[in-house]
Amino acid sequence: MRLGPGATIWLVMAALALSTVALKALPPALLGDGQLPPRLRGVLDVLPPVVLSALVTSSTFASGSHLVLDARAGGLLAALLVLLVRPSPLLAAIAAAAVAAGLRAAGLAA
Amino acid sequence: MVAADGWGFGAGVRRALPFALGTTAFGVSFGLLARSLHLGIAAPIVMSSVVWAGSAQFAALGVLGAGGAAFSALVAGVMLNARYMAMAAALVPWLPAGRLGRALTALTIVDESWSLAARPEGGFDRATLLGASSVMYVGWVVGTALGVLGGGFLGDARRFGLDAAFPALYLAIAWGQLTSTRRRLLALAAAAAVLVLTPFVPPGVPICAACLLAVLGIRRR
Repeated sequence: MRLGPGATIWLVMAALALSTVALKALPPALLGDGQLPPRLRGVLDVLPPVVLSALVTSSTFASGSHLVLDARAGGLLAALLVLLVRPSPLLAAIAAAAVAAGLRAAGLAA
Repeated sequence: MVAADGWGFGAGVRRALPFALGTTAFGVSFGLLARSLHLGIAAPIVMSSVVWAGSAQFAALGVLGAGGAAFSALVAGVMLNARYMAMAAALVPWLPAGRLGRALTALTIVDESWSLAARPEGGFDRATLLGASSVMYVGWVVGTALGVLGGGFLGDARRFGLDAAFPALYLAIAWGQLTSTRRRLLALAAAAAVLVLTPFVPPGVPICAACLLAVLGIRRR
């Protein structure tokens, strides 16, 4: 069966919605009221910094399956400098956006 | 530290606001992408309302836009979302007992709200998660609608450096999470793993591989 683009998007959407719900709800549904084994709990306790670090890296240096060094890297450096002085997420984000926009406007980075 | 002005629903809302601005801009660019693929007005907005997973939606439309099959689009999205399973499992012990309630709370997880609800000393605050998640949801759906309906006026979000705001925001939350040597080392290892793996595996897989590092890091203890 061949689907037109109109039908395809709704099909992908429904499947993506169901799979997202399943991924998020499966651990609590399987565990019920039970507690996780201490060992697994220890692993999951260090997950936040690990996931965040991976997100920082991929959202700065990845473009699809390519590694790139573009204006986002300059932005990240600016954010790092701001955070060393003041731990404010908003200031860090503004500095990163401003530096990235500046680098692009000046034609120094993609 | 993240400006941790306490915990709770209101604190979650407040602390998520800068992230919501970012996700709104991201939503606008998603709406623009959908528009460029001629997917109509309803489909992208409904998609953001029911799927609510920005990077997975981008990946799925990216595959479709490149002429890929529906199944490939789904696989790309699922790989990007696989991390939610580990994130939901990490949250579970900190939720009140009750299978259904726990599952429903886990459905509200997005990267930003989950990270904001993570206490630096370990554990999660459920009310903070729910507050942050609700702001993020509104931002994402409104952003998508803006992009689909009137995105042309806003132009390219990259010109304003908005794509650089996300890494900065993630870095800012990570800042408050690097509370022990082991956490710092694992965070560095995760960054290295993403850099090494990105060219060789589909998007989404490096982040999952980094999660596996947490397992190895604990084993080595």
